[in-house]
Amino acid sequence: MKPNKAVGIVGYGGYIPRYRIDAAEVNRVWKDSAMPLGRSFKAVPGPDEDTATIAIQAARNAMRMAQISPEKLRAVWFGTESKPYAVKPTSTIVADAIGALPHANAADWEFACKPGTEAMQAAIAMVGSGMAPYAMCGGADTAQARPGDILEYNTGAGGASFILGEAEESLAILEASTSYVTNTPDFFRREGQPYPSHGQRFTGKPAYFHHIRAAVGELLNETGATPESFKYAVFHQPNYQFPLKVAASLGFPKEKVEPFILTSQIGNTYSGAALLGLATALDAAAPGDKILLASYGSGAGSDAFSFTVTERIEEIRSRGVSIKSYLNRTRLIDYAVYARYRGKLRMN
Amino acid sequence: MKIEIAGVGTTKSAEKWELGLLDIAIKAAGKALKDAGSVTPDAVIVANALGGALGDQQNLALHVAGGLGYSHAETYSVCCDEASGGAAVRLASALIRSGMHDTVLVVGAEKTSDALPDMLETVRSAGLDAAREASFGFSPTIAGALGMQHYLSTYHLDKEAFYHIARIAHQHGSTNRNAIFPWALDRKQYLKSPIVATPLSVCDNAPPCDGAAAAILKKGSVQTSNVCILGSANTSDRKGIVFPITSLQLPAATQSATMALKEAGSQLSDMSLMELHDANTFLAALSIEAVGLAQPGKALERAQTDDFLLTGTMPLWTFGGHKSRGLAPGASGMYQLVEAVLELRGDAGENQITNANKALVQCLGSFGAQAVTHVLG
Amino acid sequence: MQIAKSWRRQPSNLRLEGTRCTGCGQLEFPTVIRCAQCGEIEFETYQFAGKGKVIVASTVYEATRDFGEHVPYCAAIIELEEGIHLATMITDVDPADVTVGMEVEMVTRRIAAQGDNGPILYAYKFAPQLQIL
Repeated sequence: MKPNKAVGIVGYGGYIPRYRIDAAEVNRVWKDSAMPLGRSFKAVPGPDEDTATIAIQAARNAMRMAQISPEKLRAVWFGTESKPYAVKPTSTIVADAIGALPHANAADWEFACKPGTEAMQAAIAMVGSGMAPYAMCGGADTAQARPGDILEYNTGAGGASFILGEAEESLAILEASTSYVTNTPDFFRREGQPYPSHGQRFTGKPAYFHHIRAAVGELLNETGATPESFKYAVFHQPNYQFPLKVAASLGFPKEKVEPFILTSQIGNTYSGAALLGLATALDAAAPGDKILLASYGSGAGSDAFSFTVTERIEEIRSRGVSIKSYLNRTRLIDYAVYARYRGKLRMN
Repeated sequence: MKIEIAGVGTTKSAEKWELGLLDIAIKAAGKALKDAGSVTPDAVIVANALGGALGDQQNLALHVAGGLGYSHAETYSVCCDEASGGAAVRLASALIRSGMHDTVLVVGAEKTSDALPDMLETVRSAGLDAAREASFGFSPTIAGALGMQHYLSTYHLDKEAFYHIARIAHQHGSTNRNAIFPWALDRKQYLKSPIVATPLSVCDNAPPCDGAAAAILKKGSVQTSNVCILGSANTSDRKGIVFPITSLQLPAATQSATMALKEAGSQLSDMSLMELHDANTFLAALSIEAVGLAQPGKALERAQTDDFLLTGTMPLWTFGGHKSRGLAPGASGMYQLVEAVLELRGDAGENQITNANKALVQCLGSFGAQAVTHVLG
Repeated sequence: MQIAKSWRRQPSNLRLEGTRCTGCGQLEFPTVIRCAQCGEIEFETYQFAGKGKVIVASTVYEATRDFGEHVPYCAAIIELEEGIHLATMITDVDPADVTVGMEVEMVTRRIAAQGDNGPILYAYKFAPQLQIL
C-alpha cells in the first residue's frame, strides 16, 4: 500500500520517564531466584505522569523538530492501552497542549501494542490523499502488568510521536506499508480489569512471529526489496529476544536490529515500543538509508513500513530531542517506590 | 471619636471536642458581655475564616446573635482569612463612628478540629490565590517554608536563627492558662522538630486550634477608664505568595501600621507592647521588620536579645502569640486584641508587663496581602 | 467535581498562555481580566516560552488534600524568561537537588485527580532542562 501522493515524516519525538527499576529487583520481590545473564531495566512513570503526559511531551518534541504551525495539523491520533480516561479521548488533551485544536481530528486508537502504527497508516493516507497538509500519530503507554507476572519484569513506560507531511519536506519518505491482521487472542485485558492476561507461549509462534513475518513478507514482495536493501530494521520489542529472532528468520542480521531494541534500558513500552525504536533508528540514520518498521499488536496484527531517509534529515533532526537524551536520564528506584508510583498500594 | 473596649472574653485555645463553632463563639461572647456589665449590643459582628468552607455554620453572626437571644441586632459575618478579627473590629468601629450604633459586639471564632489536617490545610490555602496557588498544592505553610528559605539565603543565616521567634512566644505562653501549648521551647526541641516543608518545621508553625475571643465596643466617653482604639487601618497589597517570598517585604503591614499610628498620633516608640501575626516564624520575622522594629534582615538578630520579652523594651506576643497560645485563624486577630486589652488594663496576671500604656495589634490575611492594625491605649 | 473550573483554565494550564495588555504591554500569567497597571480591559493572548530559573525552592512533606501522593515534592518560585514570577512545582528531580538559579522548562503533568471518578487536572510543572545529547 502507498498513497498516490508521496508522503514522509517531517518530524518525530519521543519521551521516556526518568525512573528505572532493575528487573533483578522485581525478581527479588517475587521469586528471589537466579536471574539470567544480562541486566535489564524498565522505565517507570513518576507519580505525576500517565499516558497523556507522556504523549504530550513526545508530541511537543515532534513539533519542536518539525517546526510547523500546529493549526496545520488536521489529525492528532494517539494509540494506547493505558488510557487515563476510559471514556474521553486522550488525544484531545494532547492536541490542546500543542495548540492543534479545534480544526483537527483527534482520536484514541486501540490495538494492543500497535495502534500507533495503525494511526500512522491512516495519517499517511490522510496526507497522501491531499486532505491534510500534516497529520500527527503516535503511541504511548504506561504498560500494565499483574504484580509478579512475567510481564512485570519489563513493562515500561514511554511513547513517540510522528508528524506526516508531504515528501518534499520530509526527513524520511514512505515507500510502502502493509498490514496483516487475524483474530488471535494471545493477549488481552477485559473491560474494567487493571491487568492484562496472556497465553504465555501462545504469544510467540502463532502470534508475534507469524504476524510480523507475514506483514514484512508482504512488504518485501510488494516493494521488491530484500533484507539487504535495508540499513536498519525495527521490530516491535516485547523483550530482547523476540525482535532478534524474528529478524533472523526474515534474514536481517543482528547488527541492523539490535541497536534499536530498547527493552534492556526501558522495558516494553507497549504502544510506544516499535515507535520509540523507529525514532532511535532515525536518530542514527543517514541520507539514503532505508529503514524497515514492523509493529505487532496482540489480537492480532502487524503493520510493516519501509522508509527512505532524505538529505534533510540532519538539519531537521538537529532541532529535536534525541531518544538518547531520555535513555541517559535515569533515576533508579526500588520495588517499594515503584509500587507506590504505579498505584499498586491500596490507599482507599 | 474614641471607641472604647468595654469588655473582653476568650475561650481557651484547644481542641474542644465537646463544643461546636457556634458554641465557642457564644461562650466567648458571653464572657465579654459579662466583663462589660449590663449592655445590649445594637450589632453583632462575627469574624470567621473557614467555617463555610469546612461545611460548618454559614452566616455565623446571625446565628450568634440568635444564640445570645437578640432579636433586633444588626449582624455581619466577616471573612478576611487570618485578618478577619482585625477587620471585624474595624467594621464595628465604623458603625459606631458613623453614628449608626453605640454598642457593637465583635466575636472571632474558629473551629478547626472538626476537619482532618489535610482538609484544614486545603481550606486555609483557599485564602491564597485559589486558581494560581491553592489549586497547585500551595498552602500558607509551604509559602512560609519558601519565604523562610529565601530569608535564610538572602541574609546568610542558619535555620536556628528562627528559634528565637518561637522561643519568645513559648516563653510567654508558658504562663498563659488559655494557651494550647503552654510550655517553654528549648533549642534542642526546636531543632529536632519534624520538617513540614524545608526548612520550616512543626515548631515554626502556629498550631491550628479551636478558639473564640470577643470584645464589646462602645462609643467612647471623655472620661472613660476603658482601653480605647486610638487608631486603625486595614490595607491590602498585591495578592499572592510570590511577592512576600521574593521581596521579603510586607508592604500592607508597613502601610497599615504607619496609618494606624498616624491616626493615633503615636510613634512606634510610644508602644508598650505589640501583638504581631506569627502564624509561622517567617511571617513573624517579616512583621517585625514591616512595622519598623528591625531593619530588613535584622528581625532575628533582635529576637536573640531580651528586647521582645515581657521584661524587654518592646514585648511581643505577650500571651504566647499564635505560636504558643494557638492559631484559630478567623479568631486570631480577636485574641491579639483581647490580650493587648488585658495588658493595658493590668489584668494580664502572670503575663503582665509593667507600665502598659499603648499597644499595637496587627493581624495579617492571605499571607500578608492584607493587614489590619489597631493602636490601643 | 469541579469540571468547568479546570476546563476554563486549560489554555494557561496546558499551553502556558497568558495575556499581554493592549494598553501598556504588561505581560501576565495566568490570564487577567483587567490590567492592574493601567486599567485596560482588552488583552492579546501571549504565549510564554516555558523557560525559567528557580528563585527559591522547598521540599514539601506535608501536603494539602489531593497532593499527598506526591510527597516529598519540590515547591518553588521561579522566574520565567519573560520576567514573571510563578509558584510552581519542580518535577523530574530529587527535591534536594533543586538549586537556586537552576534552569527549568515547562512540562505538562497530572497535578491532581479528584478521587477515582472525578476529572484529572493536567497542568504545568517545571523540570530541570533536559540535557540534549
